Amino acid sequence: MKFTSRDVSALLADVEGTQDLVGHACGSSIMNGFAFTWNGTNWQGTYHPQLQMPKGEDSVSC
Amino acid sequence: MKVAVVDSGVSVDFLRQHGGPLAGAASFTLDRAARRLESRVHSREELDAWRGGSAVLDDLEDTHGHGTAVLSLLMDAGPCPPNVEWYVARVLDERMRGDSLCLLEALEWLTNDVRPDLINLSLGTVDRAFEAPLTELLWRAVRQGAVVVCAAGPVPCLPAGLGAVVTVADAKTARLLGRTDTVDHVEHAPTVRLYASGTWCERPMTSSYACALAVARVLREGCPPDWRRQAPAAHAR
Repeated sequence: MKFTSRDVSALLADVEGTQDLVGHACGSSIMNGFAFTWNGTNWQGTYHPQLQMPKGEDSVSC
Repeated sequence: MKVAVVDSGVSVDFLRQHGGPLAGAASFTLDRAARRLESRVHSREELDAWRGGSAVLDDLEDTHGHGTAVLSLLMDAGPCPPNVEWYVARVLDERMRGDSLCLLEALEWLTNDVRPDLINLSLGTVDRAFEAPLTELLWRAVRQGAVVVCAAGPVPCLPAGLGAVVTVADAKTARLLGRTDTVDHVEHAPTVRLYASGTWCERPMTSSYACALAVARVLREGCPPDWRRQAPAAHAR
């Protein structure tokens, strides 16, 4: 095994949060029309409205 | 042909029972307290010993399962060309999380020491701090002849959408993204057969698995012409 270790202090100064990298199988979730993804510090969401027709005697299903 | 998967490593049990030998593998971790990035690059002999049971390589073992699932899709999608060499770079941990710096280091290793023909990136970040070096490394891989395939995230993120990569999504993710990000290819199947938790099973399609299916298709059927990227003049050194 070839092992190397290098100082990345200068690079880390540019980074906010930790562990920003995620796999795209379950690093995200969708709740109530929001798609969330983990940015290393917070869950960041974008709203995607999912509109549905109400179902009842005075509505139609299409 | 050299195929590289940058992910959470690989289960040695999968390699022993279902997968083939690895031609090369490395792990990349960031020690934030010490502010040091550590790389462990293993030789083919060490990897053969690991697969054969006479050595232990904990740093490569997939303690989440994501990387193994991706690799199983690549290896199980039908007969491979006979000369395929597999490379694994571990950058994600047991929670399927990691640091962009490790992705950069993995791409440095791949472009300097391996020069793969195909790279699978079923991961991403919304942090754009390292967009410039990431872009440069991906164009370097493209200049070397690689096709880099990347999974789209549920919101715009990197490296998906960059000019050097082919961005792939499952149908649901593609709908979520709408026009907010570039998607080059959409896998419409609702489920996928893969290896997880020690067995083959059907799982819901995700962007990660759609990416692996796209790479598997390139491996077996050849690369669609429009997936071969041309480095712009600024990167075509």
